[in-house]
Amino acid sequence: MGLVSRFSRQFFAAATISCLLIALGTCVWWVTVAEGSDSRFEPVASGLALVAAITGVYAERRAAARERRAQALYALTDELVKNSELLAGESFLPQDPLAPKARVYPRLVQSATDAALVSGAFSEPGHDALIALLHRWRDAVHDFNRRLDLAELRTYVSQVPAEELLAIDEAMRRPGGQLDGLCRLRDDVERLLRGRYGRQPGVAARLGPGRPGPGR
Amino acid sequence: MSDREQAVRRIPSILGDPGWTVCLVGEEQSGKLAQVTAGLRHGPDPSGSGKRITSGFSYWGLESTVAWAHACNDLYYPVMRESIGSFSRRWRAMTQTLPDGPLHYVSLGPGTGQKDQALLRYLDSRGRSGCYIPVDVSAEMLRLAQREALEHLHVPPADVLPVQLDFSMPANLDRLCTLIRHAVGDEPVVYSLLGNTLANFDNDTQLLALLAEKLLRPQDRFLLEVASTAGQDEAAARAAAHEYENSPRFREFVTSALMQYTDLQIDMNSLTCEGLVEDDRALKIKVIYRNRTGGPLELTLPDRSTVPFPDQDTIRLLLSRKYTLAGLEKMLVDARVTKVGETHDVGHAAFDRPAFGLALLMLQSADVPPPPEPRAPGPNPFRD
Repeated sequence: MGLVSRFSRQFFAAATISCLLIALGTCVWWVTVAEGSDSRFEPVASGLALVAAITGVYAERRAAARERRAQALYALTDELVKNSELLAGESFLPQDPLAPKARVYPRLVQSATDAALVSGAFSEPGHDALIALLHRWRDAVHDFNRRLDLAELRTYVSQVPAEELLAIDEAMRRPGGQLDGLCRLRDDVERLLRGRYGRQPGVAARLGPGRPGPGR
Repeated sequence: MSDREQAVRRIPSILGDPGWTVCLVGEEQSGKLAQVTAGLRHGPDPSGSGKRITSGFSYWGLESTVAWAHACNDLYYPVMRESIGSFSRRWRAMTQTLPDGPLHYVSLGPGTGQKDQALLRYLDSRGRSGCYIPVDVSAEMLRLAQREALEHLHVPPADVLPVQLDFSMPANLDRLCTLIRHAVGDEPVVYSLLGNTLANFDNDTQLLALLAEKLLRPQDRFLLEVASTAGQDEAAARAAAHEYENSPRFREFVTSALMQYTDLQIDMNSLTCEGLVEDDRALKIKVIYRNRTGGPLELTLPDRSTVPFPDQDTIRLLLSRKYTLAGLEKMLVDARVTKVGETHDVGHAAFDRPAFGLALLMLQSADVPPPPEPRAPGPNPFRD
């Protein structure tokens, strides 16, 4: 068991398909060397069973994985568009210096990111960059949403002078601050989706024409 | 509409003629006459603490008003003349301490109105002038002050509200306070008590405390002008008394009340000025009329009653003081007011003469809550 656990999923997939292909080749050879029509039934039946095994188990699994990945990509793209709209929306515009007021901020959504990470849709080789970026994005969104919670508590639980409202707003949108970092990450995610997955039907259409990220 | 309201509505059209002025009379004048006669009924006292013309009544009446206007311009009475001449400069040094926005001005004892004019001119030039409310016990003095103070200034007649009232009486101050609140609302007011008027009252500290308590709100300021002295000894007291003796116009002024309220034949040689050291707070100057005829006299008062005036008996005509800096500080503390600005002007004096001067103080109520400590910024979720 210890020896078996060392091999990767790709190894077992390769061993399985190799065995099936060898068995299929053997069946084909068997048909050619068999004498009499009766003796050919067995290699033909075995060959058909092997073909069914190859297409039904292996190819179907790959197609299902491709579909799951496509679904995850669509969800990620929609979520990215939604978050871009939130960040560019009225709620994140700078406070009026003459009349700052306490705000209820909309929270950035991250359910599609969470689902993409836990579903294993991008667990096959070739998606490492996306997985790493999604982890960073998810952490940043979680951290930003938590700070928004604290900012709302600070400004709504007690009477806060206008200077403090402005200080919180200024700190949130300062260069190198949380909002700035979040927008950079969002740009990275969009760039990766367009570059690596742009040919995927539906992704480019959802992202729309290239446009600058939300103002900050 | 009541008759009273109808009368008030007619006033604005009447005021179109500059010859007319409006004056609100806040108390019964016959009561004031009784107050004067009561002051002259005190028993004999050769030290100058018996019979007296109480403060304010030295200026009550036409003769006294005219005599005071003359005294202020007398070359031999330089204290008042220099005080008026240097007021504009001293006042400008104080303007930084004024509250923002339009200011209403209440002048307690406006005198000849020249100092009020300097103050009103400053406010007018900055577009900050509000109501002007001169308050005095003398109607004649009010009219004189109003004319002088508003000369060459474009103050609407509706913003000028002279009030004839004795502001040293607590009940009168309550009524004055109500009137001012009605006129100005919550806007800041600058009150003034200039020309060392405070020193004319026996209980000067109590009067200042009373004014601060009744009138001053946190947004208001109180401009106080008093005479000051650096020396506090008998020589300085004599020199202070000597300042008042030199001026013939001043002597006419102080005796004018005596002429008005008694049938005494005034002998200017019977007038003396006595300088005393009042504890460690001030030099006290009493201007006294002494019976030096060698025999008893009889004074007939305005109510036709007679009062004996024996030989060497005295009538105190005027009380004044020059405060030491320590005495001034103590008085401010006792009156529960704090300084927000001050200028001290030392008058011209020879090196071997005591240095007298004038102090102009901008005060506010000591009960004003201190400005809140700058609050430490609270936690900032996007900074911490």
